[in-house]
Amino acid sequence: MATGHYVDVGSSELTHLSPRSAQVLCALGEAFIGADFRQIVPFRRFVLDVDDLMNYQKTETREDLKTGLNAVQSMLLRWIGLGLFPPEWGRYTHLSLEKRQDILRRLQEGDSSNQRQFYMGFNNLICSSFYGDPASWTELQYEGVSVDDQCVLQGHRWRPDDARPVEKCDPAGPC
Amino acid sequence: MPGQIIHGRDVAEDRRLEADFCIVGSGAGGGVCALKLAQAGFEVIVLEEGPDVPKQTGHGGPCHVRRTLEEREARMYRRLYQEGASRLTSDFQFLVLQGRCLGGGTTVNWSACLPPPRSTLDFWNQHFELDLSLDQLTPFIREVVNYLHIHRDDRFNQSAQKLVEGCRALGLSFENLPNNTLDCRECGSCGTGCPYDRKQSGIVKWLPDALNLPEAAGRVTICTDTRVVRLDFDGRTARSVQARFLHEKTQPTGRNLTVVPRLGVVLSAGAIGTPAILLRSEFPNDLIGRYTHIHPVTICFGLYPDQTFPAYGVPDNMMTADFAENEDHTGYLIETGSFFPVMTAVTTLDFGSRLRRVMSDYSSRGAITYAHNNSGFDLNWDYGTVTLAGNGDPELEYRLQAGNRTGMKDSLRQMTRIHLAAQAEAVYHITNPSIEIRSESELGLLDQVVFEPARTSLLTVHVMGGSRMGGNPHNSVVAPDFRLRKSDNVWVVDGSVFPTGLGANPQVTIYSLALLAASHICQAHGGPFRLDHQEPNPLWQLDTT
Repeated sequence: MATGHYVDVGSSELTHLSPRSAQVLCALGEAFIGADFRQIVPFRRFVLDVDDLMNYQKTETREDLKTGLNAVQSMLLRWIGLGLFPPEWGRYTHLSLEKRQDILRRLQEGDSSNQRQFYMGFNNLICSSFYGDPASWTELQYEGVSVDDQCVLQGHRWRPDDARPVEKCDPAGPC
Repeated sequence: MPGQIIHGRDVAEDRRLEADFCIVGSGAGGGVCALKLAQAGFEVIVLEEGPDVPKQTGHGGPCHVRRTLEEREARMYRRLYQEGASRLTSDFQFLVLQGRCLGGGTTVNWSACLPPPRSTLDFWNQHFELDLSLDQLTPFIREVVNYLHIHRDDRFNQSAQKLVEGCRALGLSFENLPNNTLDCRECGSCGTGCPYDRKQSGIVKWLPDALNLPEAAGRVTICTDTRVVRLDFDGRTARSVQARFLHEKTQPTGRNLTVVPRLGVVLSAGAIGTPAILLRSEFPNDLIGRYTHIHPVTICFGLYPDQTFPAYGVPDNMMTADFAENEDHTGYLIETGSFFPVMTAVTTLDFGSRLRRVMSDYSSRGAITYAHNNSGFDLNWDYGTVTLAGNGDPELEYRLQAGNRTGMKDSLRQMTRIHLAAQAEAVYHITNPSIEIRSESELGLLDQVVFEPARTSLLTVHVMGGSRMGGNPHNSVVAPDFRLRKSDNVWVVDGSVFPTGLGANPQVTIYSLALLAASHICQAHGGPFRLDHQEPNPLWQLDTT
């Protein structure tokens, strides 16, 4: 069983999420990414970033996602088509990672488009925030953007059979 | 006197402006019209919902031009795309990627340039009573090619190289897809806005040139962070354009703008934005928003034994058109792409250890192919409809046609074969459950692919139609001279006028049609119109008449 507490974040720091829905988001995030999520990207940074992303979503999408987070937490899963779960499962945030992933799998593979739409909505929020964070790039061997990184600009030969540097760029000189 | 940019987020009071023309949208249609109408001496106001992309020297030196375009996917998607790049069709089946910034789609596209396919123009002429031939459009296409430095760039990334190897092995033809770049740095960041201004987009060409016209020309004012709510009509005449200024994060500031057009309004807000404005204006035409089309994009990833660095290099400059043409216009172009962590993760339908493994493998040894599937040619099928939510936000409902489903599945099969022929160890499909194919004998696994929401990840970067053009007033919203039917002073100049999908990356077609539209508008109001870049160009045989 998990403690149900993932992140310290106050309501004054959030525009769209509540501190409660932030806990659910982290519980879902861990189910999506894995147990080492918080070691790679701190939950607090993740929650604040998702809250920022929600600024740009249209109202309907944002409200649906907030409703989905509440539904998952309060286990009103019949509403999103999963049927009643055993009462001992309690709240989503308190479930073991294995059980949280089981619920995620049911959403992912659900027969109703409603279930799968929630899966996609959560996927969009969680993956864009986690993989948008440079801390997640190490295991991808992705060295990030090239603007500020001459090693990236000049080090890789992404043009096969072509040893030319990408550009002889003298930061002090004209381009 | 040079023009000016007003940043809507900074405006502290309600404003009322007047000009000859109000242009709504600053993308491929709006940028062209701004320049050409101002050149003709008309005073122009351009309203852009998205933010400006200020030009500042970055801390890395003079090479780092656009400091605010710093290639970070997550931040740039929010700043530059509609709904922070999370816009979906109403059933969640398609991720709809559209620009929402100064320069619109031209700022964020992958710089791929193709002319309008002859077969598509023939179809439009035959079924929609238009007269758009390649011969007629050639001067406009030549202008676009010369002005935007469109050329074939032979610096390929590994995705392109793998496509070449696969096509060679299978005996398929392939060709270098032209780009509108000048001295490209190959950073791979076209989709998040070119930070070096090497992509010849609207914010590099049309709009700065319009702002810097000599004194004799019409003055240009651009208002960014300005969302148009509606046009107010008095009978057939649009009397004003009502807009709201927006904060950086797209919420209204509470300050409003009214623009009074002395001569007319040009709607260039794109294939979802333009119909949405007309719907909010309660303009009387039941066809508004109907017949909206997309190019459904199918994607697959090849996994190779060697490192490929798929995030870097020119993303889209190689293609095969061998499957583009078929009888029912459901063919597809296979083009190359780049691996970007956020976009890949968002479209991947896996989670947990499988997601992590896929992301890790394909980010270092992957090569990506996309198929833009043609669509919109079944005249008995109701493809897409733009409607309004209760709060006025646009929604796109899209219905895949049977022939498209067949074509899209075939595109997955052919892309898989190309990767395998290029010696891929595996080919990954973003389906639910995901499929990895390791040999031709496993191609049958693709029979399991179902094109339903969250069963197969699909996206589109080309939205067209919704205010379709035609010669018959009973089945079109816009007349062949780009004038909005039932209106005296509104023109529609963007991809929303396409009667069907295009069957090619659309920016060159939109630019060319916008030049044609600008010539009509100038003619209607006695303004001079000229093309300035008519040098012969060997690309697409533009050196012959």
